[in-house]
Amino acid sequence: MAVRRFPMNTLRAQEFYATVRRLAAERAVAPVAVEQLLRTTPRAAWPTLDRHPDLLNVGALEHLGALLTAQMTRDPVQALEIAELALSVAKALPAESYPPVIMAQTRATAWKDRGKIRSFLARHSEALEDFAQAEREVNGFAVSQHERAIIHLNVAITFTETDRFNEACELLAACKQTFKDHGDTHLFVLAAFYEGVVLQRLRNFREARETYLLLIVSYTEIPKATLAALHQAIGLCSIHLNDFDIAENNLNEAIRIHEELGQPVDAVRPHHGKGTLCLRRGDFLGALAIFRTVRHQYLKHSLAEEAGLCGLQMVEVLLALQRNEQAESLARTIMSEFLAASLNARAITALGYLTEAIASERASPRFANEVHDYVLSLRCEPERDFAEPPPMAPMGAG
Amino acid sequence: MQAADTNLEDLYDAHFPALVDFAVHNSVPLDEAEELAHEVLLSSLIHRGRISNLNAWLTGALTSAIRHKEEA
Repeated sequence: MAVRRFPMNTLRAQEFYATVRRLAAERAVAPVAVEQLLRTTPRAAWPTLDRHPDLLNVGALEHLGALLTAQMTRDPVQALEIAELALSVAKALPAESYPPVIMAQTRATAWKDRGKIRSFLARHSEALEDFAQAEREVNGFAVSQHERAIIHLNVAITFTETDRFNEACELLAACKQTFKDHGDTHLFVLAAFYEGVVLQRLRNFREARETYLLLIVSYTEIPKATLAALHQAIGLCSIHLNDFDIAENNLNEAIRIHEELGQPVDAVRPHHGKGTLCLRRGDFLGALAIFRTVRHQYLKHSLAEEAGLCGLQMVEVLLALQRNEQAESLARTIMSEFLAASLNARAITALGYLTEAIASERASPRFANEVHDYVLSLRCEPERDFAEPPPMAPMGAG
Repeated sequence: MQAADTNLEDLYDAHFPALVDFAVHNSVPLDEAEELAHEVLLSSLIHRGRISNLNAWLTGALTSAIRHKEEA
C-alpha cells in the first residue's frame, strides 16, 4: 500500500517523544526504588506510601503490577496489599501527569489488577466491580480495545470460577478475536486455555483435554508458564478419564517446566495432582507420601486453604488404610489451621462434622472426600450449606 | 528489549504517516485519523511488554479502534 505523506503534527510528536523518554527513565529506576521502599516499610504502613515520590509514576506502577502478579499464587494476601497500594497510587497521579490515554490505561490496569487478586481470593463480586471500574476508565478511548479485552479476559475467568459458563464463553470468544487482531499470541492462547477450563469445569474432560492438546500442537510460541498450566490441566483431565499414564507424563512435564522456570511454588500443584493420581490408582501409600510433602510446601508458603484441601485427601487415604487415630488428629489440625487463617466458617463446621464422625467411627473415605469437595466448592459458592453427614457410613467405601 | 523499545527515536516518524493513511483509507476524517494514530502510538508504550510484532499490534489496535468507533 502506498503511503501518502500526511504532515506530522510537531506538538503531538514532541508529546510522544517526551513520554518515551519519561517512561524509559521511570522504568530504569523503578525495580530498585520500589522494592527498596517496600522492603524498608512495614507492611502495615504500605497504604501510607501512595503519595511517595518514588511511587508516583507509571514506571513504579508497572513494577508494582509485576510484583503483585508474581506474588499472587505465592502469597495472595500480600499481592492484594500491593494491588491496593498500586490502585491508591494510580488514583493519586495528577490528571495532567501523562497523556490522557496513558493515564486511562494505567488506572484501568490498577483496577484490573486488584480485581484479579480479589477474584483469586474468591471475592468474586468485588472483583467484578473492580473490572467494571477498569473498563469505565478506558471507555472514552477507542484505541484501548486491547486493554478492554484484557479486562474482559479477567471477567471471563471470574465468571468461570462462579459457574457463569455461557457468559464466560461469549467473552472469551470476543477476547480471542481482539488478541488475534493485535497479534497477541500469548493472550490468545490464554483465552483459548480458559475455554478449555470452562469445559473442564463442566466435567467435559475429553473435550477440555482436546482443547489443551490442540493449543500445544498449534502454537510454538506459548509462554512456558502457560505451557506448564496446559500440561497440568491435561494431566488432571486424564486422571478423570482414567488415562493414568498420560496424566503422569503431563504432570511430570508441568513440574519440569515450573522447576526450569525457577517456580518451585507453582510446581507444588502438579505434584499435588500426582498425589491424586496415586489415590485414583489405589496406591494409598504413594499418595500419602506425596500429599505429605505437598501439604508441607503449602503450609510453608502460607497457603492454608490448599494445605487443608491436601490434608483432607490425606484423611481420606488414612481412613482407607484404617489409620483412624491419625485421620482424626489430622482433621483436628486442619480445623485449627482454618480457624487460625479465618477461612470460611462453613468449611470449619464441615471439618467439625468430619472430626466427630471419625471419632465415633462413622466416617468413611467417601465422607472425607465429600468434605474435601464441599470445602473446594466454597470457593465458588461461599454461602453453600453442607449436607448432614450420612448416618453410619460404611468403613472403607472409597 | 521489547519491540516498542527498539528505534524509539524514530518510532513516531516511522509509523505515524502510515497509520494516518490507513485510517483515512478506512473513511476516517483526517483530524480524527491523526488523533487515533497518535493515541495508538502512545498506547503501544504502555503495552510494550506484550508486543512481539509492533507493526501487527499497531495495525490491529487501529483497526479495532476504527471498528469500535463505527459501532458506537
